[in-house]
Parts: sequence; C-alpha cells; structure tokens
Amino acid sequence: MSAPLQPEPDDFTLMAQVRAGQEDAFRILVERHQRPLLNFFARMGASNHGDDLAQMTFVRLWTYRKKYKPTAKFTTFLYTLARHTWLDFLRRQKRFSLFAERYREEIPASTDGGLGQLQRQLDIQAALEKLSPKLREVLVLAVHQSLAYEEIAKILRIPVGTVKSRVFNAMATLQELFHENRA
Amino acid sequence: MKTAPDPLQNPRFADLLATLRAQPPPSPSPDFTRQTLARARQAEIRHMPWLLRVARLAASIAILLGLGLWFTQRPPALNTQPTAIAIVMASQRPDGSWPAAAPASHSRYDTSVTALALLALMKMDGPLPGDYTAAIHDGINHLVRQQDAQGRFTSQFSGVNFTQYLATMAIRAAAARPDAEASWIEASRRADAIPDNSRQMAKLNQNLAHPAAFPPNWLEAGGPVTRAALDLLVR
Repeated sequence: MSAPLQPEPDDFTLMAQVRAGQEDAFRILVERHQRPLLNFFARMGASNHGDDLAQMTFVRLWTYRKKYKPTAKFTTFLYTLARHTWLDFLRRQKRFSLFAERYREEIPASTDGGLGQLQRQLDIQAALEKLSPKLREVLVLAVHQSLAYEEIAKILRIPVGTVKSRVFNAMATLQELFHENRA
Repeated sequence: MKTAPDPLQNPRFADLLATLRAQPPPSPSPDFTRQTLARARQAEIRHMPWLLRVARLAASIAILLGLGLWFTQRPPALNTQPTAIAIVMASQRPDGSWPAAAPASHSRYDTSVTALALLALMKMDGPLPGDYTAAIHDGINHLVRQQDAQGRFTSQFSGVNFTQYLATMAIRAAAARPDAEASWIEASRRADAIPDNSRQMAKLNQNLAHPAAFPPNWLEAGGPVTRAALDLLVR
C-alpha cells in the first residue's frame, strides 16, 4: 500500500525553514513560484530576461531571508523583492519596450485562428508595454499575479485607493492602446 | 466610509481583462531551479554580513602577521632542541666518537668534538625524555681509550689545551654519574693530574659561556656537531 500523500507545506512554513537555512525548503519555494515570477517579469516587459530576473529575485529571497517577518504575506515579500529586481533592471535597460515592438514587426498580422490568437496576445503585450511603469506594475500585480489590492498597496507602499485608481487608469489607457494597435 | 469600486469588476473592461488573463505564462528553463540554487549559494558568500567579512579578513591578516612574526622571530634551526639533539645523536660513529667537520685535516679535533658532544648529552640526559645513556657510555669509553697513561688525551698540536680541557671536563662529569664505570673514575683521576693552562682555560670558558660569540674558526673546524652541542649546552 502506498503511503498517504502529505499535503505540501504552505509558504509560511517553508519560509520559516528557509530562514533557518534549509535549502530543501527554498527549493520548493523556487519550484512553486517560478512560473508566476516569470509571468510577472514577462508582463513587465522583460520577457527575454525573465529567467535571469526571476532567479535574481529568488537569490534576493535567499539572501534576505532573515528579514522576512512571518506577519507579512509571503507573496508580498516576494513581489517586493521582484519589484526591486525589476527596478534595478530598468535602471540598466532603458529600452524596455524594444523587444515587443521588434517582435510585432517580425510576425505579420493574420486573421487565421491560431496566429490571430497569437497576434492578439502580442498586441496586448505591446499595449501593456506602452503603459507607464507605474500603471503597468499595478496592473500586472492585480491582473496577472492576482494579488489583492491591499497586498499591492503594501508592496508599492501606496494607499489602497491609489492602487484602485491606478488599476482603473491602467485599464482605460490599455484599452485605448490595444484598440489603436488592432486598428 | 465609502470604498472605491473595484475597477476589475467594471463591465467596460471585461473583454480586455479576459484578453490579459488569456496571455500564456512563459515556461522556465529546464534547469531553472538548479541554476537558482547555485546562484543563491554564490550570493551567500558575496552577501556575507560585513562584520563577518571584516572578522574573516582580520583573522586572515592576523594569521599572516603571526606567520610573518614567527618567520622573522623564529629561533634558528640550530636552536631547536630536536634538531640539535638529533644532529648529535645521528653523528656518533660506531666507535663512540664524534667527528669534526671535513676536511680530514680537522680530524685532530675529533676528540674535542667528542668531549663537547658528551658534555651536551650528559646535560640533556635526565631531565628531558630520551635515552642517551648508551651514546654516553660509548663516547666516554672512546675518550678513555684516547687517554695515555699520563692522562693526556692528545699529542701536541694547536688546540691541544682546549682538547685536554674539554676531555677532562667530560671525563670528570662522567665519573660523577651514578652509572660511572671504574675506568672512567680512574681516567678522571689521571686527567686531573695534568696541570691546566689557566690562561687558555679562561679563554675557553669564556667562549663556552657565550656560544654565540664562539670563534668562527673553531665552529668551522668543529662542524655541525659542535654547533649543535654548544646549542644544547647553552640552554
């Protein structure tokens, strides 16, 4: 008879172990959060540096593990680190929208079902990358990472109302840009 | 207090929201986890707390300084007891004598060197670990064999007084040992019958009292056994 399946430990438990220097717990956290982090960086406009930035974020998580307070939600801590990683990246890379524009030029628009869907995704990504960094980060955290407004407010250190107004402005601007791209 | 409406629930953005959420997440590289763990390990070293890094640096400097100090302040190899005693013990000939330095012309000092080595060994025998008894017995018996009926240890040549004096001191010390053989006591009595050259003896005693100022030509003639024996005697 096979052994009963053990529920995977939650992020709090794992971080407590990571704080104690347990690499196995860190490995589980890396495996658990690598895809959402990659998605975060891709939507922020750094998809061709996604692996590197996500790894750098995890490295910061390991380096600053002792600073994590169990009172805070783990994803708040993780995305605070991710945002710092991204801001550092921005300082190094001024042309953060170049990739999407170049990619859009390489793939022609099509009405074909498969390519049409891809084109739509490229258009939305191109529009997303035209947003100002302030609007883009709040939108990515809210939509792609599905973080609560309160959590986003803690990460960005702004009031919840400001988060909501930024999300609204981001959606409105994005809608215009998206339709412009598709026109 | 009225809270602002959730913009993501606004029907105006429903289509846009669906498009955004339909964006497929990128896939990590196959060795993403392995690379991440490797980078984290490297970063751990780079991000070591500055105090710890300073402590490590200070420890390294202290070790280097300590090594440097030891290197500059360390006693010469000759002054280290194991080396000196090892030199003396390893240099004894099968007949019980110790050789002076090469060339062969210095062999006339063999008796002096043997006496000096014996004085050193008899000083070391007892308080320090190590059994030098056999070497002492062989050496004293050799000296006794060198002594003539009048009590002299060597024929006439330069340094004869030193040789006589050193050999007499060694024989006297041997005769005073609890394991002294009858022949040693007799040899000591014969040696005592030879009058000392007081001026030469004073000079030799002065040199023995300050081995660091030992005449270079004597050291050259006496060779490594003399240096080692003097080092043991001065302790």
